[in-house]
Amino acid sequence: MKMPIAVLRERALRLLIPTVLGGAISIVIIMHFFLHSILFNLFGSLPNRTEILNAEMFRIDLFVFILTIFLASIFLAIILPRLKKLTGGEIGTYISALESARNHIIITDIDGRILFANKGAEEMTGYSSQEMIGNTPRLWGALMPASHYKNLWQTIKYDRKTFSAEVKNRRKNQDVYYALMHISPIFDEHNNLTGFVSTEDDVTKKKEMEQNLQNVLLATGNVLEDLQIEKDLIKQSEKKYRALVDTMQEGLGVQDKNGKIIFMNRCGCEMLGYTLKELLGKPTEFVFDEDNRKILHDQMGKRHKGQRQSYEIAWLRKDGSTIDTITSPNPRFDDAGNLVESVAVFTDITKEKAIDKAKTEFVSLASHQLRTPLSTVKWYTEMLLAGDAGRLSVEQSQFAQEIYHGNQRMVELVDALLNVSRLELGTFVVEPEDCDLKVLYGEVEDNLLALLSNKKIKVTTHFKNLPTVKFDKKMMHIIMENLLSNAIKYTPDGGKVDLKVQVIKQGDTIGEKTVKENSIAIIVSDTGYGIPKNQQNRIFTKLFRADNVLAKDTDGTGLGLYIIKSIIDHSGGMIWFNSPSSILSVPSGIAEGKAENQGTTMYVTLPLGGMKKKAGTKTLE
Amino acid sequence: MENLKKILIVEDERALRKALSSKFTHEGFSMLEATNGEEGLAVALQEHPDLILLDVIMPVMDGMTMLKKLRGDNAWGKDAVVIMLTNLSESGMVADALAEGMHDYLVKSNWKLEDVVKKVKEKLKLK
Repeated sequence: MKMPIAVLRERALRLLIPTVLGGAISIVIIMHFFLHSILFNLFGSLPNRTEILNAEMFRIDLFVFILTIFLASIFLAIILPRLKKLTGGEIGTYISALESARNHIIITDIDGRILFANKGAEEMTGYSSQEMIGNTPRLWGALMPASHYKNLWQTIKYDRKTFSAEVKNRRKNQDVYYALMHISPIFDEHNNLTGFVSTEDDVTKKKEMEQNLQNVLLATGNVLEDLQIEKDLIKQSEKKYRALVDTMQEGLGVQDKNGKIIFMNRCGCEMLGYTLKELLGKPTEFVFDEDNRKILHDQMGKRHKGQRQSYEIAWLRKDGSTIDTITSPNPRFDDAGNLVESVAVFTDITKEKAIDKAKTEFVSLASHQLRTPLSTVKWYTEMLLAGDAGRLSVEQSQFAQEIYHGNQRMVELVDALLNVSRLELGTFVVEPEDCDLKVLYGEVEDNLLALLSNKKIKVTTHFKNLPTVKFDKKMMHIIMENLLSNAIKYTPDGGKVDLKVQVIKQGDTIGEKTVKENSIAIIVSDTGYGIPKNQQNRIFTKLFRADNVLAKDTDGTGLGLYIIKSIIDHSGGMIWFNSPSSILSVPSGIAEGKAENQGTTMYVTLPLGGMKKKAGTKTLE
Repeated sequence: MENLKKILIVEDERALRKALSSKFTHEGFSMLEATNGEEGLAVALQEHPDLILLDVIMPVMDGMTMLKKLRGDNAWGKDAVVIMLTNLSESGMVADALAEGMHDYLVKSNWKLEDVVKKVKEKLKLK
């Protein structure tokens, strides 16, 4: 620290010395004359002035001169320190200010060699002042590209201007720091370049903050970019779905939670005859007439309960006509379970309806046309057999019986087909009325008498405390007759068939099944061939006939169990069976009531509450 | 022969008409035949049969129309005994026919001729 201050002081003194010396010389001259005149006057009283003049005058002059020098020296000794203090004090203040400034300040000569470095420079670079002086700032700098230094020297040395730049430096401990640097040239009074003063402000923190900010910006940018990518992806997939939705051959409409239409695909618009614009924002009721709005509201109520079955509804077209559809609602709920929106896909079933109608009409017509000749054959055969046309021989009678039997099968088949078509089309009627199952069995038994006597089978019955129940008599007749005729048909001659009808309480178990509500159970068990294990899952399917009975009896239609299953399903009941048999074919030896024939037990339950009335166009046969 | 019960068969299918006619003649009834509703109505109003067996689906005039006209005609027509013969159990038809005072209806293919005769005798309180 001493050296640079000394240098400064020296420079400051350089300015002072001419002044002080000038003053001193003036004082010496003034004092010389002043002293000389005093002494001259003193010695002037001497008698012979001229005598002493040559010798004494010289001595006096010398004395005066020495005295003057002496006095001047005393004066200077007193005045100079004061002056020094006066001038040097002010500079000292500046210097101490420079020294203790927190900013990094260095002064170099014109070649960049450091003459002075303050405390701020020491702190910033980590080098001590001694380490820096004599060195160049390359000690902690020199990390910038060559062009930077070239530019720097050009500016300060040749352009003689201040150079400012943000620089990257390295502290003694090798930490990198960033600083805002200003280097200004220093000129002397003759405008000669004498050196440079350089300051640095540490901007590492600022830089870090900037970097952080930059990072944040970058991160934000990345996030935004990701978002954009996502957005693009969504847009793309939206485009894809939009295309998909638009090329669909079904109508697709979306309504918001308030029941306003917020979307309709192209097919939907075409089906309804509206443009999308005309539909947007309209209440959904807009595309339904009065009757169908009832269906819509009914269905929307169900939708809130989470049901989403497809249903038939006619949409209203712009031209006022309606279009029959199957509409599949798909409500969307938020996490809280509130309905957000509902998507409905609707398919034009006008054609299907027409086909259905044609089918129904065809079945009716075909049945009618089939039945007329069947009735004719039946009645004429009956008359033959009754002897109305004269007594028949035994053989003639047998042949007529065969005709009659074959015709009866045909009648049954037509009836069964009609029932199937009515059950499938839903055109059947359910007319519940008080039904005494014991009485009903009596009627069924009448129909089965011929079969029973043929097979020498007796039906044992158990009716336990039966209440009258509201059942459709025709349906119950079909169920009972089918169950019993199956049991009889598929039980070897002389076997046993048992019919049990009883009330079963909710939670009770029959046939390994627990009944879910109070029911009437009809249980028919036989000692017959049973149902092959590998075919048990198919016995309720249409036109199915088990292998083992096919070989035995070719009479069945394969529709009986399908029909009663349909009826029972419609009535909220259940049907199942228990058949331990795994006999595929029935060799007669086994079939004749041997232990292997463990038979089949069919279970039917129907709600004790009875069947529900259903309007329709046709009763079952 | 005056005590023979008169039965009118209105049926467009010749074979069925003849079968019924043969059977009932055999059973000792006096038979009248018509091939459609219009003809049937005319015969019925003229001959006042004891019972009419009426087919439903017929050309010219179907059974339902004939039944309505019969009931709306005069005092006799209102009380005439009518059994409908049909090939189909159309529930709407049955309801209509019941409303029009049909006494019974039989699905032809499901009934034996014997049973038709039995039913007719029952309606006429013959045994």
